[in-house]
Amino acid sequence: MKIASILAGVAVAALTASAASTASAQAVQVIDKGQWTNNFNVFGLVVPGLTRNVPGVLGGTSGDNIARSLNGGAQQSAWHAIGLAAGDTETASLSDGATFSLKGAVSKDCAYYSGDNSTESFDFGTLGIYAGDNTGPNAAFTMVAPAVLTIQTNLAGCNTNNTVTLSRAVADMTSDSTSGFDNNVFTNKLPYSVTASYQGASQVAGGGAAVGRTLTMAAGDLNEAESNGAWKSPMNLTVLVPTPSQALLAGNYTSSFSVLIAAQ
Amino acid sequence: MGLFLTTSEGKRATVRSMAQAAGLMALVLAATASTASAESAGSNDAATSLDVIVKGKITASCRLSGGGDINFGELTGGQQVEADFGLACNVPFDISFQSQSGGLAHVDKPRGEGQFSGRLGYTLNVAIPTISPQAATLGGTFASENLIAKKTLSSGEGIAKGGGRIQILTGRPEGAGLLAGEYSEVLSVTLAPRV
Repeated sequence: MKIASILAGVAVAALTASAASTASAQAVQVIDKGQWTNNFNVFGLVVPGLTRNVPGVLGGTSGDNIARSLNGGAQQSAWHAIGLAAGDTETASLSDGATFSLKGAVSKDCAYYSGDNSTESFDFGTLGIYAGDNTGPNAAFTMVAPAVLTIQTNLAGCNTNNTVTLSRAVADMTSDSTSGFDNNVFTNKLPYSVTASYQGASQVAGGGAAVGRTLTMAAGDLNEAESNGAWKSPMNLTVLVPTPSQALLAGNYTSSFSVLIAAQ
Repeated sequence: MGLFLTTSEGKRATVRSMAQAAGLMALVLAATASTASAESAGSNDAATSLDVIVKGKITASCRLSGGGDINFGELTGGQQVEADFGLACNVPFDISFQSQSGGLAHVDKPRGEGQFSGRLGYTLNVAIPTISPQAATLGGTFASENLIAKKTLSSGEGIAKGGGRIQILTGRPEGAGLLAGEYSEVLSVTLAPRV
C-alpha cells in the first residue's frame, strides 16, 4: 500500500506538470519531487520515522534531499526525482482557418444583331402617288398610302444599365429634287416616325420582371431616349411614313436614323 | 515493509506505450528503481519493486495555412482554378467550408437585374491526403449554393499528411447571362481537431 501511495503521488505530479502545458507554450517544464523518511536512532536502534515530502516545509529543500538520496550510508531513506522537458515552441493552436477570396468581373456589353454590318439600307421603291388624269385635282400627285417598314431582330439588349436612343440628323425624308414648286400644294419632305418595341427592364436594384417598352421618335423629332436596366429581348423597329396632305415632288426621298443601345 | 526497497530484482525496465486516447499521445514508462536499502526487522520482503510512471503528452495542434485572393478575371463560365493550402494537424480533424454568398456575387446587385443574373455558382472540390496509417484522400464536392450552410468533412481516424487542395469550377451563367460588374465571394475554411 505504501508503494501504491507513492506511485499515486508520482502520477499526480506528472499529470499536474502536464496539465500546465495544454494551452500555451512553455520554455521548460520541471519535475522536482522527492521524499525521505525521518528515521531516528534510539540507543543504536533505527526507528522508522514519518515520510516527508520534498520540497516542503517539513521535508526541506530539494538540494538537501538530492544529497540525501545520493548518500548510501545515510540513516534516512530518500528518493528524489528531477526532470526537465522543453515545452512547445509556440502556442498550440486548437483550431485554425484560412480564407479564399474569389473575384471576377463581367464586362459591360450591349448588343443589337444586324448581321455583319452596322448600316443597312432599305428602299421602298416607288412611293405611289395618284398619277392618273382622272384622279381629280385634290388627289393628284399625292401619296396613295402610308409606307411602312418593320425591322425585326431577335437579339438586342445590354447587361447593365443602359439607354436606348433613336435619333436622326434630319427629321424628314427629303427629296433630292432641285425643281421649284408651289409649297402650298407640293412638298419635298416626308415626315415619318420610328417606334422601337422591346422588353426592357427597370433600373431598380435587385431586378424584376421585364417591362414592355415602346419608344417612339415622332414625326419631326430628332431623337428619343429611354433608360433601362439590363435587358435582353427581340426588338422591333417600325418606320411609318404617313401620307402627307400635299402632293409629292418627283425625285428620290431619303433619310436615315439610328438606334443606339449604350451602357450607362 | 514496503517503504524500503530492495535490490533483489536488480534493474528491470519496461516501456509500455499507451494507446492514443482523447487525442493525447501518452507515454508511460514503467521501471524498477534500484535503491540501496536496509530491511527492518519484522518486515522482510522477498521481493519489492517500484513502478515509476512517467507521463507526457503532445498537445493537439492543428494549423491551416494558405488562402488568399483568386481572380477569375472575366467571368465566362466553365472556368477552373486550383489552390493549395497547408494543413498540419497531429490528431484526427474536421475541416469545414462555408461560402459567404453562395457563389460569385455581383458586388452591387447580387440579385441581378432584369433577366440578368447577379450570381455565378461554382462547384467546390476538396482533396486532402490523410494517413490512418494507410494513405487515403479525404474528399468532397459541394455546390456553392449549398455552402452558405457550413459543410464539414471528417478525417475519420486519419491525420493530415500535410496539405490539401481545393478546385473551383464556375458554372454556366443562367438566363440572359451575367450582369456586368464586379463579382466577389469569400470561401472560409475552418480546421478543428477532434479530441
